[in-house]
Amino acid sequence: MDHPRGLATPASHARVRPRTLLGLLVLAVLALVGGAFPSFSRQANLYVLVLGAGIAWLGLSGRVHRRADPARPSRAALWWLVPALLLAAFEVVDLLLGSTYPHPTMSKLMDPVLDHYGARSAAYFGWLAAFWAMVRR
Amino acid sequence: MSLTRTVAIGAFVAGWLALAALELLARREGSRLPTVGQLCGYVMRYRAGIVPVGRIGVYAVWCWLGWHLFAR
Repeated sequence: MDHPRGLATPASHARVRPRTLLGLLVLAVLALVGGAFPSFSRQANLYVLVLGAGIAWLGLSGRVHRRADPARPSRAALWWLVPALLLAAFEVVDLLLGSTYPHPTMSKLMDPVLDHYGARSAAYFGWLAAFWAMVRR
Repeated sequence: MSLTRTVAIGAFVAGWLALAALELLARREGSRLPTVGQLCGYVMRYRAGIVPVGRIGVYAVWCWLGWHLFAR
């Protein structure tokens, strides 16, 4: 949650608003349901597409209150390109080499982790929470 | 484990650790480095006429990521 620096009180940081709590609860329930569907199943495809389309529609329709427009980032933002390009380079090269055991892509490495219900649900929650945060931007 | 696999895993771990470090640096008081959220917010501001191209692009990438991780 963004606050103008120097204006936020300790009490405002400590208090979690009921609406925020309810939102997190809804995302958690959606993630727990989504985590139950195995990859390559019709339910998993349908569920993620409906959720994605629904959240994207909420973001594009302007029905959700957004934060103020962010200022133009400084040149320091270019530092983000360093790890992003490193990850992208290895991902693309390994993908072109067939995403095999000696040349794994990130999703290939994540597969055994996402086979477990707990990890899958937690990752689902992270995906949903980040998506919702982008809708609010 | 093959050398190429070790190098790839090392690069992925290094990349994600660097992203986490940048986010922590960006959240420090007075930092000139934008957070990843601020960066996404700026990219999503881009419009071509009335079409919110930046927002559509970011949402499309995120939808694809979810589909790729949880359905394929």
